[in-house]
Amino acid sequence: MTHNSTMNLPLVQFLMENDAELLKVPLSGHLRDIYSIYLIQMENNHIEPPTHEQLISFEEFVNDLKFISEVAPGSLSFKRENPLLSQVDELLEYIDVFPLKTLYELYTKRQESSNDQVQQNSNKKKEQVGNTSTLERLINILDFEKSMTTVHSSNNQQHKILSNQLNKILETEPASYELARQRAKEITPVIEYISTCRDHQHSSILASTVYIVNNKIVSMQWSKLSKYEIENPQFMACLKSKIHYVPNLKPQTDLTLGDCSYLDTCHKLGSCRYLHYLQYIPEFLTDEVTRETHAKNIKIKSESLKIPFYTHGNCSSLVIKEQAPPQWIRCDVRKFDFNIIGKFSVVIADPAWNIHMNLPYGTCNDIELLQLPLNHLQDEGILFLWVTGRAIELGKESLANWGYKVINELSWIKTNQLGRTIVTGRTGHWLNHSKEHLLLGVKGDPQWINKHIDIDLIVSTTRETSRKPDELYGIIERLVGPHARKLEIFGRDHNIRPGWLTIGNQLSGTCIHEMDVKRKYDKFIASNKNPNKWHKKDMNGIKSGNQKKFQSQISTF
Amino acid sequence: MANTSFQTDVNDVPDDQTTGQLIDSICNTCQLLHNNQPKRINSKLIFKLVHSFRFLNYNVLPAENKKLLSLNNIDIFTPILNLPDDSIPEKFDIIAILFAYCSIRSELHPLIINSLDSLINHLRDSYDSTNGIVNSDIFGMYTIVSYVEQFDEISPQLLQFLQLNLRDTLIHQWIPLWQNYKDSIPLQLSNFEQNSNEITSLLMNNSKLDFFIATSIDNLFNKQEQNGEKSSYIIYQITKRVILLNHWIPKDIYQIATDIIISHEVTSASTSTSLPTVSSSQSSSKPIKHDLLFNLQIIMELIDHPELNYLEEPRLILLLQVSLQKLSTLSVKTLHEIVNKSGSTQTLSAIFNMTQFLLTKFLVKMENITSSSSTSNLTLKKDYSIPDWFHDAIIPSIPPISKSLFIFDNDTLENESESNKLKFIVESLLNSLNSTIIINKKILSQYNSLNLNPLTLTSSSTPSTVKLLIKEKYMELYFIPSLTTLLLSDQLSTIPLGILYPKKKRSLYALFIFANTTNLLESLIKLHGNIALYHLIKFISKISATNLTLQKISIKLLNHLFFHIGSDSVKQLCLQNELTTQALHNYITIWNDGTETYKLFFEDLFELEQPKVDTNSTSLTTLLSKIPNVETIINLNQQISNITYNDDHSPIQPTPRKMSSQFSMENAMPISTNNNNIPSKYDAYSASSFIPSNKPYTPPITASTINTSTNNNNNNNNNNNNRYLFNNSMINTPPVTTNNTIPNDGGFNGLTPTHMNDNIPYVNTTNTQEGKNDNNYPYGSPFSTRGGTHPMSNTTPKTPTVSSMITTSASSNATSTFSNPWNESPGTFTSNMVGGKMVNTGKNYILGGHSRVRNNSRAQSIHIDQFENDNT
Ligand SMILES: [Zn+2]
Ligand SMILES: [Zn+2]
Repeated sequence: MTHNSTMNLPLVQFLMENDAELLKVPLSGHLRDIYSIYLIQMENNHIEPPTHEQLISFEEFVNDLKFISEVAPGSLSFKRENPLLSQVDELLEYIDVFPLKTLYELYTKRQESSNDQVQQNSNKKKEQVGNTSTLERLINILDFEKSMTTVHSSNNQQHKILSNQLNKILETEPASYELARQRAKEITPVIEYISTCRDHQHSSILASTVYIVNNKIVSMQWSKLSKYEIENPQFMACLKSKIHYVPNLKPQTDLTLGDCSYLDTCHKLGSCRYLHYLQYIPEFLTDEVTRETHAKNIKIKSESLKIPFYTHGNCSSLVIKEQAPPQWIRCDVRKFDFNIIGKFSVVIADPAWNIHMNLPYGTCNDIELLQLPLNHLQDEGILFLWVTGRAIELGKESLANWGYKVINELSWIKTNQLGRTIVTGRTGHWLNHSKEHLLLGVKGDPQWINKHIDIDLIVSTTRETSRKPDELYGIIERLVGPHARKLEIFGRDHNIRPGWLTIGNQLSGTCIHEMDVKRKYDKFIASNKNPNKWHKKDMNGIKSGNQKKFQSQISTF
Repeated sequence: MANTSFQTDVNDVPDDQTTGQLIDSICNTCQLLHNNQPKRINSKLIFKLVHSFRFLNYNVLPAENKKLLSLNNIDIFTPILNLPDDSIPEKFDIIAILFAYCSIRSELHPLIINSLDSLINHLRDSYDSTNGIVNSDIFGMYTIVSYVEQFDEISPQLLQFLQLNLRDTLIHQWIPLWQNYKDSIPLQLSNFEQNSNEITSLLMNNSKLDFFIATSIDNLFNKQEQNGEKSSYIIYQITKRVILLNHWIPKDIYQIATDIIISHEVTSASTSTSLPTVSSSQSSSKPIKHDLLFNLQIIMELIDHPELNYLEEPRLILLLQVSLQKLSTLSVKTLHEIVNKSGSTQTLSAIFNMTQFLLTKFLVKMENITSSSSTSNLTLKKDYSIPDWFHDAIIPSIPPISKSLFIFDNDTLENESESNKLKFIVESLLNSLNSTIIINKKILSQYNSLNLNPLTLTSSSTPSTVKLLIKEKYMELYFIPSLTTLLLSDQLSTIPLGILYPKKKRSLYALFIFANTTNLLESLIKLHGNIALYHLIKFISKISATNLTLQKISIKLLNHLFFHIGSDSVKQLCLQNELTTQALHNYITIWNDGTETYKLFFEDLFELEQPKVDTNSTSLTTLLSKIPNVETIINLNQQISNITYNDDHSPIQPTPRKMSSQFSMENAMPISTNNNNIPSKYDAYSASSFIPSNKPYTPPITASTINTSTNNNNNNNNNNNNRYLFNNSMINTPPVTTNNTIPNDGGFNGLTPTHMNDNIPYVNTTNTQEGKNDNNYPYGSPFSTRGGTHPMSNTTPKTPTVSSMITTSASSNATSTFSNPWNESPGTFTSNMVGGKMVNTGKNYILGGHSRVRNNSRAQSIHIDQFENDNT
């Protein structure tokens, strides 16, 4: 394709000066629009109205652009938005100012020179650039080592700079991360917190001043305490503001043995010769902290009423909406119809893996777990699956089965009474387990997740057998917001929580507030009244007449 | 129903003097008509009179007006009827509208009663000739009034545009109702309660229902003695209609009606049916909320649940219609105040545009379903799909949100038939949509009159690119819902088959929606000038290329904006800007098909001759060959259509593996026999981070393999039993202490004996958390680890003497040999087959090995493990 056009220098200049604006919204590189802007600019530049010759038609304009792009290869790249439509719908995809500048300088310096020379020059340039596409060139820049070797030495410096800039851009943390963190900080309610004293001397002083009956501190010898205050200034202040652990000295206690590894969970307090502790917090201190926390949370709540500027993942009624009350369904999870409870943003499952056989509560067979139709619970979202030891691989398998991709793993470091890592776990093959694992599986690509707020570690005390730390709820609520529907499977009474639906066989009763769910649940229960329903195997033994009835019942279900 | 006229804003109530003058002139005009002076009666006067009647509503005139009552013994209808048909356009429509107004304001009832005989006489001919023909389009009086009041003025043009054709309704519905009423006392609910046919006919027929409300509503709520579920049901159903009529219902009655709907109880009726076994929230329902915030909250509920099937949410839709109607009477200032108070994450314009889009999207989808089932002719079908990106562009991505409890139904009051329910919901949806469009339009026109520009971006630090992007997004926020709404309008008017409502109503709603949407876009262009027009043309160009139905709608819209709004303001605006002109020229040139549709643009706007377009016939192959990259396009279109039909916006994700029923417990046993130790050591989960593993890889067994091996089932079942047997026996069998079974036989698979130390509870360090959790996370645990000395750190861990280890010889089970508990495939006997892989339940691991060992790391500890008995 050859053009007989002359070089339209004002157009080159126009492209150089406005490269960024032409490609951005609202023009977005549309040739028609660029043409219009060009005409407007030409009119503005001339004091006298432009002559007819200066006013080119749209077709001439497009030809001029094509010519420029041919003479200065790589300077302009075109794209067709909709291939069905005519040429006028072409877009300018990219403008490279560098070759345009070269072209412009070349022309302004040697205005006398012939077209042939330009043609030669452009051919030379073509060889340099090597007919590479815009994308290839960008990749070359990214691949720093390659660009070092292949790119002409004179461009070396430029590529280095570009490469650095790109790396910088790629490494820049988006503002959304910081905004999400700030928002979480501003609107998350605080919980009561009292720090613990680590001063051993305080402990030993207290040991000699408290009077313990039945493993409870019943009184203190205040006179002794004030005496110690003279020797240990700050002691009384510390006592009033921190938690202290007082050695529970008993006749059989052998101090040389050190601390009992079971501490407050020790079953043999009456005879154990190791050292145990009792917690001491002044009553007024807990009251004060409760009061302060409450006041702080009221303030946080009222501040959150201000118009929120960072709204990612929030529903429109975030502030005004009342959080859904706790809901729970007592059922055999294996026989439950998960279709009736709708879709959830987050699901927690804490199955009693068979590995826990020696623990005092019912277990769910591993295979049965794998066969639960948990794939119905979410269109997109995150599933948190507690796994223990060897179940970790089965857990990963299960997540894949349900359509999830394992994206993270959260560890719960279990601590004991003194806030130290647990060492008494009876599980573990090679090393004793002092942590539990929570697999995070993601389904789909949920845009509404607030990432980068919490860490993948929870350090907190153990409570009842297999009871998981409440910190997890906080993490999840920050991840998806307070009003997102959340489900916990295999939950127990201590797991019910506002905003959550809990299901499990150990719950007391059933409580459903969402009437649409309730209606479906009632239907499910009614259709389930037939005890044979779940034993398809029994159907073989039933006479053919009954079998028909059976099938119809199943199909209506 | 849907709307309030703009003149009757609650903030805009005229003063007493104005009201007085208004009533005076109405009375005078009526007198004039009555006196029947043909010279002075013309269509202009009659239209003026009808228009002035809209100010007689209860917002403007809350109390009974004495002066209006003086309009006794006056007949205004006969003189109008006597006018020659050609002197007054749509004569029967204007008479019917007048009749409707007189019906719904009690002071005007004498006007009807006085004229009734004369009316019947005049209409006797048509009365007889059409008698017996059942008209499917039954309009209530309130319905007609609400229809005409959404327009600024009742004009001959409007009536021609709407084509209400109210003649039959007037003759066969309204007049007979009045005829029967004329000599009787106000209707009593008890009249209906006796006869269920009467009730059905009352509740199903809007004429009768409206007539009942207009004449006898006082009785409904005054009589508190009625009880029984039947009457409370009827009251509730009538109330549902009353709350939709807003300012044409006396204030006190309207308030009672609203209370009933929101509290969801008819106070006099006992609704407490026995509570179901599952505890329900209804008992603890929230106190009644009258405030405007509650109205907004209902709309936000809709926005927060874009996935809802509205047909299943009758209560939400009812509340939505009432709320939108209420909000449509408020000024933009009040609306802003409510939004601010709500702390919503969405702006005022976003809330209503999102509502408009969601309602329209649902209606279009529903229409697509009903029309595809009723239209068999594929060639007649037009593509009424909404481009996929519309939703994503204006509806933010949010997680599934829990429903607010106020949207739930009280079943006892909602036992309507399904078809009736659907009809009601669909009409409510259309009314809600219409109100939303009107609110959107009103916001813009009030911004305009207040000289406010919502696009004024004050922050000077905002980069111009960001500003331009914001402008584009803002425009899309309006264009996407508006164009989708126009699509719905086209759908309603061109597809006659709507199973859910009669044809007449379909075409009327199509007209309402079209008129109000074009008004909305006009206001947008008026407010924002050229930038709005430019973006509109760009938007139209973009969507036209993806969907020909949208193209058709777009050019209709452009025609309307440029040539049919009664002024050439848009045309002038367009010509002022080169960018806009070029964009429009481009669009017109591309799509010009030589028809009238494009003619005015060429001749009137660009002053060019419309290019002639030849009609050519061509074969499909030739046509396709002319398209560049045809294969890519076909592929692309397939992709697009795939996406389009994926309506639920669920992202593409890994398909969950089917869980075949054959993997039930019965046959989930491993195929690998227990006789062979080598394959049974295979552990599919060899990647465990806890159990070191270097098993030889065995290809996973596929489901088909399992099928072929079902004859092993029996055997497997036996094995299954054995497994448990074995486990039990292991617990009961006195352990045999053996030293020599441990390391010598190579059973460690390359593990050095030092690994045996693993049963020493030794924690390397606990101090790493020191100080970290104190302050950084205010919501963290108060019991975070904070170092301290580890109880074990003073003691050097002792390597247990080999003799202290107790292992079990599995001598009791003949089917398997089991040399030592430290075999790193301890699940040998419990390996199960799942999805073709083996699953190790780890049971043997616990029972056969570690747990049976005394707490040997603390030799002196007196803690007794629960398995310690085994060791004694
Ligand atoms: Zn202290
Ligand atoms: Zn102890």
